[in-house]
Parts: sequence; structure tokens; C-alpha cells
Amino acid sequence: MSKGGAFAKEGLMEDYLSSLLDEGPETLEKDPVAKLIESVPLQVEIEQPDVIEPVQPQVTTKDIAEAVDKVNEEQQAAEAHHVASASLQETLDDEFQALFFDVAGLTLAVPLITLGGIHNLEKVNPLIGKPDWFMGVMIHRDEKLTSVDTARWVMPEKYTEKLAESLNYQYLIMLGNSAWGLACEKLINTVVLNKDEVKWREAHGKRPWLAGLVKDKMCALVDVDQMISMLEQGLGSNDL
Amino acid sequence: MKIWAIANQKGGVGKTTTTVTLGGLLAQQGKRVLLIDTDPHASLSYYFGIDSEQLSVSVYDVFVADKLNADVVLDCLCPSRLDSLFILPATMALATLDRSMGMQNGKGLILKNALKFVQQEFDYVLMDCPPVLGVLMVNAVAACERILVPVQTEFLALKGLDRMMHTLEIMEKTQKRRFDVTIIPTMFDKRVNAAIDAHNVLLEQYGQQVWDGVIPVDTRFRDASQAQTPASVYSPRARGVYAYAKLLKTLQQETTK
Repeated sequence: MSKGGAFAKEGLMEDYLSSLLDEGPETLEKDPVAKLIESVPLQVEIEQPDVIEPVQPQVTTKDIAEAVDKVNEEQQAAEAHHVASASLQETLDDEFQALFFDVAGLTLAVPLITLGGIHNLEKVNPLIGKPDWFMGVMIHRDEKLTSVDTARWVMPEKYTEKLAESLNYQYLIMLGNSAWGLACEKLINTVVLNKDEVKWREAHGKRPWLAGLVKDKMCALVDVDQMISMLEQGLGSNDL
Repeated sequence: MKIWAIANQKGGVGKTTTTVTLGGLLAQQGKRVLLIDTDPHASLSYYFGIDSEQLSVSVYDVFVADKLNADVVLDCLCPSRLDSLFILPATMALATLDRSMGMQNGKGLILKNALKFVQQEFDYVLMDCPPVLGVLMVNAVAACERILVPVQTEFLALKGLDRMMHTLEIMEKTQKRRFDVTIIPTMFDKRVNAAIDAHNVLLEQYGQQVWDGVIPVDTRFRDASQAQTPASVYSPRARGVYAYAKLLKTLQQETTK
């Protein structure tokens, strides 16, 4: 059968492949497919840090839930500071994907459409005269990426020396097309969410960066545009 | 369920990167995606942080199962950081299959038969093939409806491509079917004349089978693999990801024609 192709022993190759691909008698079961969801746990098991002791105090889901519930008290304040744009809830499709990441035991989520990218956190050069949550500037391919100490920005009231020492930032989560990046310790996973799975804040309150609460995971969903706006103004998470 | 094999008998041409990046992009489209690692070196599995030697089951168990059914396949799956993306990991034990079943009739059709049991569970199956012609690559190629052949844009890789394409010709003859083959120029560096020359030769020799774009050299792929995250998530605006998104669009348009 050789036709002078690429193989020196063309016939041998043909025999080998013919044998492997011989259909033979059908012996397979025809049972219906079992349910994938039951067979495979959907949640990725989150690696535990090797060296970091549990940080006290950590932000608890209760803290986040309370922050979200405070909305009605806060929503009248500082409206003038908010970004005049469609709310995140309006912008997103009914189903959207979000990246979950960890900072000091706190899980945050950003919708993928507002994720600018992820960088390995490298050398950060501090700048003088900036807020304490401003880690500094990381140079990446001639681009200056502005790094935010996320734990300090999100929960300044819980930011102790001990917490600071325990932080092990690994990545920079870039916000939209901006130069701002949130330092994070661990990437968890990317999940498809339905809008119904989020307890949305009904109006922008004191923390416009907090779009809502992902109910199932009890974690904060970040409104990236609002957060960029606050960072540009040099505001901390509670400064409005 | 669409089944694509990513194959080339030459190593280091971008098979795993292609598999992971296309898989990530598909999952981000909301598609339910299964990535199958058929390479004993388990690069795809390691990409996702799966140390398959520590697992109790892998794709090896699918190959050696006494009787195939859905559970045999589903029990071997590992989740990823993307919730609609699953991995059927490889293990070094796969390397023994050529010896144990390389000359047995029908052993090239195990994956094809196994995937019939999960066809309702996934929208796309992408199979990362080993860089050698053997029972594993034959299984992947026999199971798929489309073959993606990443080719590094350099002359040695073109020689490897000749062999790969000829292998496919023989298999087409054996299976009495035509494969839908798309050659994907990878690791293209427009600053290097040899890469431009190799790309031109590729277009001359394989014409319509070559995708009309190129995957550029992009260090973000390496960074993404270090983070065990598909580049499409890790660095969605990277030029390499953009190129793969363009490739995917082309493939999906062709599939729906």
C-alpha cells in the first residue's frame, strides 16, 4: 500500500493504524449518562497557605453582610462623589463570570468583563506623600501599575501590624483599563453567576465600590468603575 | 458536543497552550468544557495544578476499564478554577499503554466510545495529544471531528508537520473519513526573518488548511501557566489571548456552517 509517503515503512504504519481503528463488535453499555454535578464537586478546593497563621481579626461574612445591609442608612451620603455611569447591575448580562480572590481571609469577586488582567506581584516602588493603602508602583513592560494594599484599603479598621506582617501578596488584579491593581494573596476560581445570586445594593451608599454580596459564597462583589473612581480621588473604602 | 484534538508529532509547538487557552475562552463563553490530557507527561494536568500521580484515578482508568460507562469517565474528572471547565488528567502510566494495547484490534477507539457516554454533559471536548504517534494520539484523533495542529513557525517544526499530516492521511484512509484539519502557526515572532519565511512556506505548502492568523510569541502564556490559570482569564488583553480568541471565532463560524 506504500505510495512513497513520509514513512519508510508505510505498510507497517497502515497495518498498525488499521488494527487500532478496527471497529469490531459493539460491546458498550448504553446506560444513560449519570449526573455530572453529583459526581464532581464544583467547588475548587482552596489551597491553604503553608506558613500564614490564621489572621485575627479577619473579616467575617457577617461583617460583609452587615456592610451590605447598611445601605439604606448610607445611601443618601456623598452622592456627588459617585461615578455617573450605569450601575454594575445594569451593565452585566443576566449571567456573568466573576473571578474570586483572597486577601487576608476575605474573599472578593470582580466580574470578568471589568478585569484588566492579572500580574505576578513583583517589586513595588513606594511613593512619598500617598495614602497608606498605596503600596507603590510596579513597573511591567514600561507600564506603571499602581498597587493597592487591598487589605488596608478594604478594611482599615482591622489592619493591624500583625495582619500586615501576615500578608503574602502574590498577584495584582488589574481594574478595568486603569493602571490600578489590587494586591491579592490567592486566586480562587472563576464562577458563572446569575444576577439573582447576588444581593445587590439598591443604591450607592457610603461604599459605592461594593456592588453587592454574592449570596452563596457570602463575599463582596466589587464595582470596579466605582472603585477606580475612589482610588483616583485618593479615597479609602470608607471615606465617603 | 464538539470534539477537537490538538495534535502534532513534534513537541514544544504549543499544544498545551492551545488546549488551555481555547478551553478557557470557551468556558468564559459559558460553554461546558472538558479538557483531556492524553500525554503521559501530563503537562495539561500540571498546568491546572493537578499532580496526577497523587490522584487515585485518571484517563488511564478510562483506557483500561473492563466496561465503559459514564461513571468511569465522570469519576476521573477534576474541576478547575473556571466552574464550567473540567480536566480529565493524565498519568505517567499512560506510557505503558502502547506496549499493552498497541497491537490489539480496536484499542484506538476507546476514547471515542467513552465520550459517547458524556456527550450530554459537555459542549466542547478538547484533547491535548502526546507528541508521539501511538495508541494515545490515535485514540484522540479517532474520537474528534476536528484536528487542530499547532506548528511553531520555524523550519524544524515544518518537517514534523509533514509527518503529522501524512499520519492523518493514512488514518483518513483507514477510517474512511475526512478530517477537518486546521494548522495553527504558533510562537510567531514578526521580528525574526526565519519565522516570517517559515510562515510563508507553511502557507505555500498547506494553503487552505492553515488558519489565516498567527499566534504570537507572548510571555503572558508562561505567566498564566505559573498562576495555573488559563491565559484568557489571567491576561485577557494579552495579544496572544486576542489571537486565540480570533482563532476560536473562526473555528466556531466554520463549525456552524
